[in-house]
Amino acid sequence: MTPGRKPLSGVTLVETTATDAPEALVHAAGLCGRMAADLGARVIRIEDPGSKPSSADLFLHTGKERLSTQPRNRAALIADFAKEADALIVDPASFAAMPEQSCSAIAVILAMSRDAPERGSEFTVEARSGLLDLVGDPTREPLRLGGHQIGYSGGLAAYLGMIAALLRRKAGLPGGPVHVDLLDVAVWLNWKTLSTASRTGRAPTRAGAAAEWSVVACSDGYVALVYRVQEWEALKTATNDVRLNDERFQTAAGRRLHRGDLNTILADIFSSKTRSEIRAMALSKKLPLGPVWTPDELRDNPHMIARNFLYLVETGEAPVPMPTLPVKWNKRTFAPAIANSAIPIALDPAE
Amino acid sequence: MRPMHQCRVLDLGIITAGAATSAVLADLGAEVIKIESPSYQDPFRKWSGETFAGEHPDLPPFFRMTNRGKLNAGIDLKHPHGREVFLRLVAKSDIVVENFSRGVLERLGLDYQTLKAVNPDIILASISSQGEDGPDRPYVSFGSTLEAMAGLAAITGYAGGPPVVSGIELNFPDQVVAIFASAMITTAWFAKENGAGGAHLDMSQRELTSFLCGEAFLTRAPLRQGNAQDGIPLQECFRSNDGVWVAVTVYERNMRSLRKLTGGVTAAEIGAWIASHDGARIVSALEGEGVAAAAVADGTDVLAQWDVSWSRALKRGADGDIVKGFLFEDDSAPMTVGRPAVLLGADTRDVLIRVGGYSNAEIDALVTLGAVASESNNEVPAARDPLTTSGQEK
Repeated sequence: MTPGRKPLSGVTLVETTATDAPEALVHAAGLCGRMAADLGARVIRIEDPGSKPSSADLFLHTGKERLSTQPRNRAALIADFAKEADALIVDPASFAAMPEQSCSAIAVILAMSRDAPERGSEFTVEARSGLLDLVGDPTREPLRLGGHQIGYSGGLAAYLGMIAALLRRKAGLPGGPVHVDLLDVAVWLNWKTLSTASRTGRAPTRAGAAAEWSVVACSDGYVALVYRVQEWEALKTATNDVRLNDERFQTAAGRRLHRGDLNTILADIFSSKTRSEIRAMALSKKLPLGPVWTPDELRDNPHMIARNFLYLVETGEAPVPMPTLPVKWNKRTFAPAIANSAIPIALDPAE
Repeated sequence: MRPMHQCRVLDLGIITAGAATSAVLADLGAEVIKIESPSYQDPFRKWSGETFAGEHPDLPPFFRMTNRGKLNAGIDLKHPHGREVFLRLVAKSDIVVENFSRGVLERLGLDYQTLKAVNPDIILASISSQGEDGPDRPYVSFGSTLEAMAGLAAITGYAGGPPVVSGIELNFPDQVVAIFASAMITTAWFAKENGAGGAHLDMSQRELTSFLCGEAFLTRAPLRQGNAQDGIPLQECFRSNDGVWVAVTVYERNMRSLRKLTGGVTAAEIGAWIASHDGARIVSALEGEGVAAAAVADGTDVLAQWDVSWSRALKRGADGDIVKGFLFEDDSAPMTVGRPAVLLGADTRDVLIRVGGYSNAEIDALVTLGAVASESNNEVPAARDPLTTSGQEK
């Protein structure tokens, strides 16, 4: 790649979702556009006026040309931009509202599910996919994964589908429309549970504190106690605690049977250790233990700093640490493009 | 014709992260050749679910699901002649996918510079726990390790409670990385078609996990709030009188009709209403009022919805086996899951002749030396007892 050029230089996308589209589709389309913008595409986001700024908004729409227009003008505006665009990232309603002749660009249509394309939330998709059932305590309500994991997973899939269709078009073949359903993506992520359910008739479910991998308190926070059968001996050596020599814990089946007792002992062992000590132990003994860092702490994390993962971005107020696209391309990091990202440009005349 | 039909992928990917990435590339039409060393097979052949009577013990279900649509060549990369064979294939290929521990590729003498020397246009996709550099580079991990280290666990959990990870059944970061990595590889292929040349893609699963919590880095927001979510007045699971957990998301716009239906809009009021009705009726009544609601499904419930609420995520292979399906559908380019997963070395001879330009006599000599393994070396037992293995994965 010549200096200054990026992998998607020369590609133009239009990203838009209808006023009443489920928020999950806004997040999915937003992430797809954000990735493309970081990789050099021109991304034009058409949105409603007066949308309330949020941190998700800033994360998703950095590097895009944001244009706001009243809903009644939206279809005509999209059609206009679509003439020059390579791809459109849209929800079903926006796609349906477009005049047919404007569809020479590849349409990537994000929907919630096959049976309810425009209904539901990220939370209900997580429930329907079986993912919600897997997380949390069995005696309490199922627990969603933090953030917008369902919407963003859909955004990753939309991006993949878009590039695949662009490749076909480059080869002189028709591409799209591309269909991405968030429920299908979430079910795809949950394939192991479905495999087990289909073969045994029993589906794994959340085990809470009795899970094979638990999260326990350490002296300055928490640690995820992650280890496999193969790491058991290394864990015993690293912790050097005689209680782990108990006969009951010396086989995988025994540990499974006495999981509650084992986890209580491990919690006690790790309660006096700091996350820094646990990290050092994990590195020296090749153990997959996970000290729990908060996003706030990760801003100052030496590894994240060494990897240039966060870029300070001016937003008009205080600069904020913006996560970069997690790929180094021949050692090059794609700094988030920030042009026009903070405030949408209003296209409608004053009313 | 599918988007990557002229692309050849050498798949060193193991377990989920790498092997599933290459499976997505196969969906897109690439010729994917899984390379396994007889001395180091994909660990998923041994610890990826239970094999039943009549199933080959080296083809357990999770392995089959993630390795359909691929050829398989048995090459011992630690053997000097095996390494030579691999490099000869690299010269005739477009992409190499790997997710070994950092340092393994270098120790095998197969780092990016070496691959580039035999094929300047090669795209090497390195999927790792922490990336190619930085102080945590040697860290070993499973998906849930990364949830902890990347910030996702810190923002997942009951209000006031400890952080929570997705756990061994899901290992969330190992699943999403296959979408991201295949997307970046496809982008590199797109850029190469535009004259960009080869590339080394360094992808850290920890960074991807952080990236997918992106907005949490921008503010000092509260960490764990259970099922609540910023900007949403009420979001929670409530239990019905027949024991079904019902997930409900309530926006401001739903308040009026919700009050009409349930008699209130607080969590306690809605919870009480749901607790006095059965699950199926609740979902239908709430949806009828425009409120997002769904029964919390387990894996069996989800399977019952196949071809009703979802249809692409799983597919049946040519042998009727359930395998991983597709992330999207392009009306112009239908995808297929390809042939079922095969044993180590099932296609060694075909690959070495067709791609590497070897003769049968040369291959015989390589087999004798132990540098490559072909299917004839794999004894397929006539019958096996069921094996129980763990479902752990990277």
